Amino acid sequence: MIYLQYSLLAAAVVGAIGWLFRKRLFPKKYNSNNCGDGDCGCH
Amino acid sequence: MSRSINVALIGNPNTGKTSLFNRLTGLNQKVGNYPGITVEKKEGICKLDRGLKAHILDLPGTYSLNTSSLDESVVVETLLNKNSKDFPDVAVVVSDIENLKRNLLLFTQIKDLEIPAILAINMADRMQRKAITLDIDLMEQELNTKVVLLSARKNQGIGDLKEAISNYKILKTEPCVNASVIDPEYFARLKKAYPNQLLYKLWLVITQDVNFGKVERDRDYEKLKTSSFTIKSEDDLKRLQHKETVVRYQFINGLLKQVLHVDTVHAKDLRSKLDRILLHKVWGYLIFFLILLLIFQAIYDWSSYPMDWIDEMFASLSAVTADSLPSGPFTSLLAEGIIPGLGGIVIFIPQIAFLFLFIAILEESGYMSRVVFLMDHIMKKFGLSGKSVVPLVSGTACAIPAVMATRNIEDWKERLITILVVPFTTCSARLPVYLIIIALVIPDQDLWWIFNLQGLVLMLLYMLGFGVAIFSAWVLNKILPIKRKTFFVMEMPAYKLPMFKNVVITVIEKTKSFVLGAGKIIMAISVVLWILASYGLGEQFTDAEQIVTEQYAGQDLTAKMLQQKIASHKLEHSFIGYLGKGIEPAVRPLGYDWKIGIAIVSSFAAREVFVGTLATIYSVENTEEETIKNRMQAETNPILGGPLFNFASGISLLLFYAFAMQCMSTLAIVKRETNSWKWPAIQFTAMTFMAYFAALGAFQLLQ
Repeated sequence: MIYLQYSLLAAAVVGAIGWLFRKRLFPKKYNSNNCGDGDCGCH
Repeated sequence: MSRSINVALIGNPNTGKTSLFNRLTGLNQKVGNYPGITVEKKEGICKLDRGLKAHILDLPGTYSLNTSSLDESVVVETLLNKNSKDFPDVAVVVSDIENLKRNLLLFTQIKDLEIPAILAINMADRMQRKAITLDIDLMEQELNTKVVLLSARKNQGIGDLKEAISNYKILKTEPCVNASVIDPEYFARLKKAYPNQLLYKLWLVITQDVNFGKVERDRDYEKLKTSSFTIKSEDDLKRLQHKETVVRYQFINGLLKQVLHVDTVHAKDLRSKLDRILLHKVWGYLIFFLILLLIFQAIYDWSSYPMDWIDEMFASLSAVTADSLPSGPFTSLLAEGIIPGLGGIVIFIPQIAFLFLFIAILEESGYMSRVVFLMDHIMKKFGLSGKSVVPLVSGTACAIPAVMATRNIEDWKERLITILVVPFTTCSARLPVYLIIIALVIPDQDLWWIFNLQGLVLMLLYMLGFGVAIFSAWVLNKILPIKRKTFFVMEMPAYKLPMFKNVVITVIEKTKSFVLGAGKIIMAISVVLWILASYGLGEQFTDAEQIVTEQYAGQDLTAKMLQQKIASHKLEHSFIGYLGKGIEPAVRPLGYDWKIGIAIVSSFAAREVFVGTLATIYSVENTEEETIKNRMQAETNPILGGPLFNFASGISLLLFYAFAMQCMSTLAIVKRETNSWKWPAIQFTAMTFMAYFAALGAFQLLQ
């Protein structure tokens, strides 16, 4: 049972850190034509 | 045999264009889409005199020919392409009597395309009630066209418009504004390169892509792209467009000064009466202040009931999880990390919902435009918008809904500056920190028999927050290399009762956006912080229980006190404890020790965690201020001797928390609102530097 607990803990931590890094390293691409205003902050 | 002409109905949104279209065409209309795009195309037939038929095209509403959306682009496409079957023989520019200034911008642009244009001034039935008079003859003379007063709603003036359309051939097509004055040399070169083309049409073709994506037009555009004529850079073209707008408004202002007169004192309608009060130079500000007070009260006070309930619910959920699941590290993460982390997101929902409920009501009722009008000229001086007032004030409750409230600021630079400075305002999370430090270092005595010194310091901290926010905005306005839109058109909508459905949708959308957007980031950081505070290396951490039990073996400690001592020992030797000790050399010049260092590092999650962390470090049995205060008072400075929390270190700590960006939730929401980590990173770095040097200066001067 304790191994399962540690595995789940590791998965949660790796998931959280991985998600934070993915957001930073591979952000979504935005289509500027959807915004219209060049100063909208989406670019 | 009947002849048919093309008539384009063009106008700003909300000018009653569609009502006029319905009035002219009756049931003779059909609705479809423009080829290849999902923009609605409405056309109909209107019978005129002498067997003449008008094919009427109701074009999408647009504020100008400088398009910024697909809908608006359709208008320009139709007006530029002479080969199109929809190209108008005459354009009817529909405007609204109450917003003539803004409406005339579009009219002057259409006139420059040398298309016969009629100015149809709608909602004329309101003129008497609003004490508006218009010199139509002089207007026709100045605009070189026919002006028709009508009311589509009351079926007035429609016959006059039909007659004007029938006589479209006698309309003059000379422009009323000479757009080439914005750059005579450039326009002269353009004319020389294309002597047979209409100059303003060429200019529109060149500038369309600056505002909107590449949309194919007629052959002129292709010619321009492939010719040797040098087109200016996008920045230069934008600058010239702004200049053109200014030139047009100069003409319109001059014209309206001559032809339009509004006697606001004698206007009898409700809107004018309300405007006289709400825009009054004394009452206007006072009423706005009272409304802000109500919003502040709602966010700060009313939301405390559901927030307390949410807090208790998540605390119970944590306890139930810890008791019912098998004990182990993952259960601890769930009970101490994930569930409190979720609670930390959900707890903000009442504040966000209350704030957006009020903002939606203010927007829907038409009052927000009056607020912008009232505050804009003051806030503009500091690089902010009139709409920045609401975020700045609601920031005193919480920066998260405040940052989200900046969404209705149209100008990106003003919005960004507001987002960056809002966290300086004193939010409710700073309050527990301020209260305990003030109680420790400021004497509880009266000043001039009226003021309490501690209360005065608290008020000064609030004022400091506002002052620094405004000053930072002024500095950011000077240094941020983002261009501001030089033209600003503000519409004063009519007052109306807010639609319940719209208000509810706004509140749900904003709340959902916070929970799903920032919530995920807060959750992920909570997990990381929990790991850092719950794990450590070495015997001191792993054998904490044994070490502490042996250490206090001779003392008669209760089981609860012993557990507190163990928790304190573990925290000291956890990763976050090492971080606290690691930053001690950096925080020592500010008058702090490693314990405060740990509290500062862990309060990155949220400022109020500072007090809770100190309670754990000092192993106090409960987190009530008085108990922690006594424990903190007894603490001595290991280097300098004397009390650790004295006047110098207390002021230093107050200034640190006044300026530091100690809130991961705010950083997460700034990331979401700016769609980049760049701005929260800059904000965090700049605020931490400010906090550090202010605290350093204060301690070194006062010690």
